[in-house]
Parts: sequence; structure tokens; C-alpha cells
Amino acid sequence: MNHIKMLLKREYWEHRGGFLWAPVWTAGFFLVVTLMGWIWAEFIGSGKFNGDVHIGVPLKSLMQKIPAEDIGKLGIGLDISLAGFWMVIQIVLFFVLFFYLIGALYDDRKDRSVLFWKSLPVSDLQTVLSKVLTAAFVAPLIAFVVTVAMNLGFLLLLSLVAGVHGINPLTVVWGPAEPLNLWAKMLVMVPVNALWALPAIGWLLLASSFARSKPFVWAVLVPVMIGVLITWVDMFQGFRVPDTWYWTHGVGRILGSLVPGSWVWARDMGSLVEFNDQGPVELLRWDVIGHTLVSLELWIGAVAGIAMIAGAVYYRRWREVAD
Amino acid sequence: MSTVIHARGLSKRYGNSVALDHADFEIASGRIVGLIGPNGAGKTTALKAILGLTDFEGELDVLGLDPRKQRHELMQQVSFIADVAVLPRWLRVSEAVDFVEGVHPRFSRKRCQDFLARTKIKPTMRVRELSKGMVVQLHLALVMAIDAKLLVLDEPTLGLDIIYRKEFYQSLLEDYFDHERTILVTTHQVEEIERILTDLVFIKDGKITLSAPMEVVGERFTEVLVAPDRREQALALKPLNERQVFGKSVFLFDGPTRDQLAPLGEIHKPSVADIFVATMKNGGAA
Repeated sequence: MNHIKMLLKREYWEHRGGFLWAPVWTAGFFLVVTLMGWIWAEFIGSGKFNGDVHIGVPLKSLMQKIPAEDIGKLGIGLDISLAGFWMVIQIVLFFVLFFYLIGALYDDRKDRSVLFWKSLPVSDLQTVLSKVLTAAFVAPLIAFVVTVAMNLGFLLLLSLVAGVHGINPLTVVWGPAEPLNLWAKMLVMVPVNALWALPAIGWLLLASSFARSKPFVWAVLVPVMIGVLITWVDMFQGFRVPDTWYWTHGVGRILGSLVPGSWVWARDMGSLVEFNDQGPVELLRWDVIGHTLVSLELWIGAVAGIAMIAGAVYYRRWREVAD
Repeated sequence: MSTVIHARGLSKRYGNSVALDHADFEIASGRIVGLIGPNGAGKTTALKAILGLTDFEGELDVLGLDPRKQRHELMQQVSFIADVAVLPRWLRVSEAVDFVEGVHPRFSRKRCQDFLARTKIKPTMRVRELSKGMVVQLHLALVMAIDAKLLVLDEPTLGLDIIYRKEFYQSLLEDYFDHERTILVTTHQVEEIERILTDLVFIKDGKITLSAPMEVVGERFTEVLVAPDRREQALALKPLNERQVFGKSVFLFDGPTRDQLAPLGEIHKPSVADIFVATMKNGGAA
């Protein structure tokens, strides 16, 4: 157990840039843009045109008294903003994790530092597990904390806007928005996403441990080429509609499952989720999360993912340096 | 004296080429063993087999463990430096110390910090900021702070300048080695380790061609400077090797006693490098 803790720290030390600073900078960027929007509306825009600046919600609704029935709408708008920020961070997290996993069991074989790591009494199972846990929990939890901080920063900024205009922020910001509810769902999404992403985590780690060179080619091009081949063969057999099973459940799962909420697209949830302008909030619904958690697809994928992780442990044990 | 490594019929092939060909050897505890061989002779493969980094055929026992199946347990008692340029460049010195302390039950933080205190290495530095010599010092500090029974060094001083090479072996001898520990080292530069070795193992084409303590090597091998008129006599004793120096022949003998050889001419103690070259030419002296 102590070993795992140390190994998780090691992953964090090596990938601090991706796990911590990438979401922090992204969050910072969006908050600064929000601030700039307000400044523009406040000092430059107000005299020149009659429109409004939207930062999730129309800024004007925070700058003047609005009718009580509009408060509800304001709440929905605020929630969309908060969930939208979550989505943005999740997309950054996807790219970080995708490249992290491809390099996780390859980079140290490339620079030969694997010979240092392997000179210590750490089993290959522990090493691979630490990478799985990092991708499944550590990085997403850091991203979650950054998202919460970013959400708080956003709400504080809006409170400031309202406050400057003599409006009570409790009635227009903190009352209508439901950050606690959203954060609870974001937190629950971490293990659900992790389970759903297991085939992708497993596949990328397998490619990373297996490749003697160019793990990206193994991870991405090989399954795509196989898919093209299957599709091509299918087209000969009586000109059927090309088989999309492989693409949806094969390539889609082993490469795409890391995409946050990708289960909505992969599964037939058209009846459950309607995509409208509330997009990200729809993903963060208890019934959608629950529906995914009890789906057979999630669990079959998880088993396949674990099998591929076992393969990665095997190759980690016996593959030699890649130089 | 117990046996640390015991190998019987150790074999390993990569495709068509044979890296180890039924190699047999034993290494006792408390020894400093030099594993010497030309490039591609199977030195590194032998070390990898001992460390459980590669699969092999045959019988191999390291500290009573099977490196194929018990690598994890083995690594609690074995340390190795597989050339010095393997510390990851992103790692900070303090992180390296924390990590080894966290995963190694036999690591002493104090010992490591004592070693580091003698260098210019600061805890906040990253490996990429260190000079090659400093990386070696860091790696040595980490490894020497581990109370291991067997230390394996594969070309540990490759690419280092002479000052660090000397310092490296000096630290090992003075601060690390004792009669409880065993050190197994491979190198190209035989001259620089020959004084510290207690045992010599030669390997050629995957086979062990010589395996003996230095005292035995000293008794077995003799170099004689022979004048031209005694050359026939010398050849009759079947020398391993002959080379010409200033019109005289320098013969290297394996076996004949000093009393037998003294009448032929001036007797020298051959260097390990000379013995190595001669045995490699002749395909074996075992």
C-alpha cells in the first residue's frame, strides 16, 4: 500500500504539468476572459451599443433588478456555465490522459530510466496499477478540484458584478445557481467515467508496454487500419451496410472512452438525453449517470479493460528497453 | 563463504544469435567479481538474467531466489547500476531520495544524505541540471545507501572522464564494500578495476572461458621475456600468446610454474588485459 502511494506520487511528480497546470491554466484563461467581458461591458460597451454581454448569463440581468420569474431562468443559465466549465476541463483532461497513457510504459524504456525503476523492489503489477489509478482517479480528482475552484471563482466574479451594481448577489447568483448539486454529480462522475474508460486505459497501456517503437502508431493506427479493412471486406459481401459494430464498440471504446461522457453517444440514450443548449448539464443528471452504471456495456468493457491491463503487466515484465 | 550466484547451463538466444551458450559459473559472497568480455560476448545478457530482466534457459539461482519468478523479492537484496545515464531527467534529487526511501526497506536516508553532502548536488536540482559526473554521484549515493547483498554494475563508468571514474571505484571500495557484500562488475576498461577485483570471470561467445580468484590467476599466468636463443624452449611449454618487444619475445603462459619458467628469461606478472587478450585469441583457457 505504501508502495502504491509512493508510485502515485512519482506519477504526479513526472506529470504535474499535465495533471495540475494544464487544467489550472485553462481555468485561469476562462476566468480572465469572463473578467474581460465584464470590464468591456462596464466601461466601453455600455455607452456604445445597446446589446448585452453573455457570460453564461446575460450580464445585464446582474446589473439591474429583474422580475422574480426571471430568477429561475437565471439559475439554469448559471448551471449551464458551471457545467460548461467542467466540460472544458474534462476535454483538457482527455488530451492529457490520452498522451499520458501512451507514454506511461514506453517513455522510460525509451530513455532507459526503466533500468533505474526496475532496480528497485517494486513489482511490475504495482507499477502498472499506479498508472491505472493515476489515469482513473488521481488526474480526474485534481481536475475536479480545479473545476470547483474555477466555478467558485466564476460565481464570486458574478457576485462582484451584481454587488457593484447594488444588487444582492445572494438573490441573483448564490440563490438560483446550484453549485453543490453539480459538484456532487461531477464527483460521482469520476468513478463512473473511470469504469467506462477502463478499455481505453487498458488498451493504451497495453500499446505503451508492447511497442518497441512508436507507441502512438500501435495505439491508434493499428485499430483504425483493422477497422478500415473490416469495412472494406464487408462492402464486398453483398454490399451490406458496412459493419459499424467494430467502430462503435471496438475502436470507439478503446480510443474514445476517455472522452468525458462518451457513453451518452455510444449507448442508445437518445430517449433519455436530449441535446439542446443545456448540453453539459444534461450529462450531469443522476438518471443518466445511473443508467450508465447499470449498463452491460460498461461492465463488459471494464472486464476487457482489466484483461488488457493484465497484458500490459506481462509486457512490462518482459519487454526490454526500447532504444 | 556462501554462494550468491549459481548458474548451470545458462543459455539465451536472440533470434539466430546466441548470447549465452550453456554458461556455468558460481560467485561467492564477499567478493568483487569482474565479468570481462568483448562486445557481444554476453556480459549484459548474463547480468540481465541475474537481475530477472530477461528470460533464459538453464538453471540460475541468485541469493536462493529464481530471478524469473521472484524478481520483486530479489530486488530487496540486489542493487544495480546499469550504466549511469539512466536516472530520469525530470526527477528532482529530493524526489529521488523520497522515492527510494518510500519503496526500499533497506534504504538509509541518512547515509544517502551524508554522501550527497560531500558533493555539490542540491536537493532541489533536477537530474537534467546535473553534469554527467554529478548524475553518477547521485546514483551512487542512492545505491550505496541501500544495504544490499549483491551490487551489480554494468559498465558503470562508461562515458565518464577519468576523475569521476577513479572516484567512482574509490567510493565503492572505501564506503561501500565489506565482506558481507558482493559486487559484480562488467567493464571494457579492465585496467582500471583490476586492482580492486578479487575474482575474474572471462566470457566469450556466450561461454565462460575463465573463472578464478585473482590469487589463482596470479599463480597460473606468467609472462616471460625470452631472448631469441631460448625461443624454441619457450614454445615447447605451449605458451598462450607471443608478442615481440625490442627483438625479444614476450610469452604468456597458463600453467607452468615460476620454477619451470625462470630459466627462460625475465618473469613478469601479466596484466589482466594481457591475459584477456591472449585467452580471447585462443578461444579459451578454462
